[in-house]
Amino acid sequence: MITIENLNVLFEGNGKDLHVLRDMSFSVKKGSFVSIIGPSGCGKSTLFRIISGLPTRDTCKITGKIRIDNRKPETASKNRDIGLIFQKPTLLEWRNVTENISLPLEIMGYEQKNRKEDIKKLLAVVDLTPYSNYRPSELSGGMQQKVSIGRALAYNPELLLMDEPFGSLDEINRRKMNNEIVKIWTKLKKTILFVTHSIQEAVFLSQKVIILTKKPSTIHKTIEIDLPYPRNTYEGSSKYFNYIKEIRGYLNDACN
Amino acid sequence: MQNLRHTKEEKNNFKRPKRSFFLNIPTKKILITILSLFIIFLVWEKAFEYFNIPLRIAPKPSNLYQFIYKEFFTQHSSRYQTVFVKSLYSLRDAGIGFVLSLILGSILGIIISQNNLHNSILFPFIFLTQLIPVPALAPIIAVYLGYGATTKIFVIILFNIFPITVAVRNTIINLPEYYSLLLYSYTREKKYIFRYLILPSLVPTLLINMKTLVTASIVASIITELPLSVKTGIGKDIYNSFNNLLIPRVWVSIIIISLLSLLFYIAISKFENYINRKYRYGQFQYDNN
Repeated sequence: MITIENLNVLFEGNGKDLHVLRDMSFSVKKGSFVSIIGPSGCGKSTLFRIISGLPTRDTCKITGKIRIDNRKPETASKNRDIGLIFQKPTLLEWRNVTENISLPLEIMGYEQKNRKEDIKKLLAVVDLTPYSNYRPSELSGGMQQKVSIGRALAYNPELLLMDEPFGSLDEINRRKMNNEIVKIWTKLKKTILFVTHSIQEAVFLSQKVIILTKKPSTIHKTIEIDLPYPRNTYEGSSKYFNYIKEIRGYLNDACN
Repeated sequence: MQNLRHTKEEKNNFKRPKRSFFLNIPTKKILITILSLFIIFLVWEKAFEYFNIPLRIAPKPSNLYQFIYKEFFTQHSSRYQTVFVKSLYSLRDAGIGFVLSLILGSILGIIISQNNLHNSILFPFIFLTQLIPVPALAPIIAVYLGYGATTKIFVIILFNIFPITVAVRNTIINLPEYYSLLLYSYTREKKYIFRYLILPSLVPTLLINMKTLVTASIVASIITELPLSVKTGIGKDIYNSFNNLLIPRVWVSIIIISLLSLLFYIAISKFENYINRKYRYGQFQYDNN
């Protein structure tokens, strides 16, 4: 689904260029859940932005090959095959939950009749049916993020890109949301590329964890997580703990 | 999750302090204001009598009362235009200028926010309207647009356009980046980004600027009447009354126009609060940080 080959990203500055991503190559299979983890400021969000086909700064020079189902990210984005979930829920306060979820559908010109049915189903998927008329500020942080997940799923994209979506939540809500996202993923079988800071979260959620080095960032190690879903029952197991230990070790190496 | 909405029972149990009929101000405050005004008028009257201050310097409250009685409550009011009616003429032009400057200022703000080239070309001209004393330009503009209401409205627009343009431009430039990226991920068409993000974000900016613009429009309308041959406005009347030493007329005219400005200011403030509370346009939970 996603193929990245020899990706290099450079920010041109006044006399001093900043090499952010160096010779990065990896692939993500269709329907899989892959997490990217790395030290702060290693370029995870830059990578997220490039894959999502969003505009980058004028000083940003990108070389290498990025393909999403054999198309450039911009084309995949135009064809509505990418759903974005940012660090912050980015909900429009002047629209209620239903209206926020239907925003992409309105913009993309979906018929209002079909829209209503779709939104109903989505509200059930993200478990927000009783809150359909609430404003974003009336919801907790976790619920707001669920709305943004619902919004990203509204136009049924093949790929979900999530940039530290639960980073600002407390531990309890983060756990809840991790369970929710696994539920949604197993139900809808979307391809998910998940950027995170948390080793625990990466092991709990993903089939594959890509560990990045510090800047100029490249892939330090890729770990396949061979545990069945849902993983709540395996959290106390030695296999689960070993994955965390292994990733922590590689992450420490990657930071040095 | 804690439900933030109040139940009907909670709403019924909540007792509001007794408020006056129209302005939502506690009745006690209004009574205090009336009493203080009465005391001020009394001291003013007695002090002017005691020090024997002539009318050409300043009128006493009794002079103002006599003028008001003659102007509004005798046959004089049916024969001649009262200062209130003349004020309404000035207000009409101020209103037209206010609406046009709001529309033109917003359009210019949107244009210059789109790229640096537009900003570099247009901003110096817009900034110029802030630097030059615009009402003094009225006679020059009148050469082209005539000595009537058109010139007056044009001057009001020039007087107002800078703050509204800059406010609109800054609001658009400072929109939180994540929101723009989100909309961009749905569509590349600017009309949708404008409709779903920019336009709602501009509502609080426009409302807050409307409050200052409405009073500025009234001031500009009155000042511009002086060098022009506008016969119906209150500005010209104040000027003529002053030259004829009709001092109570000058004072009452100024009081009327100030009260009308205050009334518009309060009305727009109420409207602003209502819209912001009910619709929450342009309220972002996250800024660029």
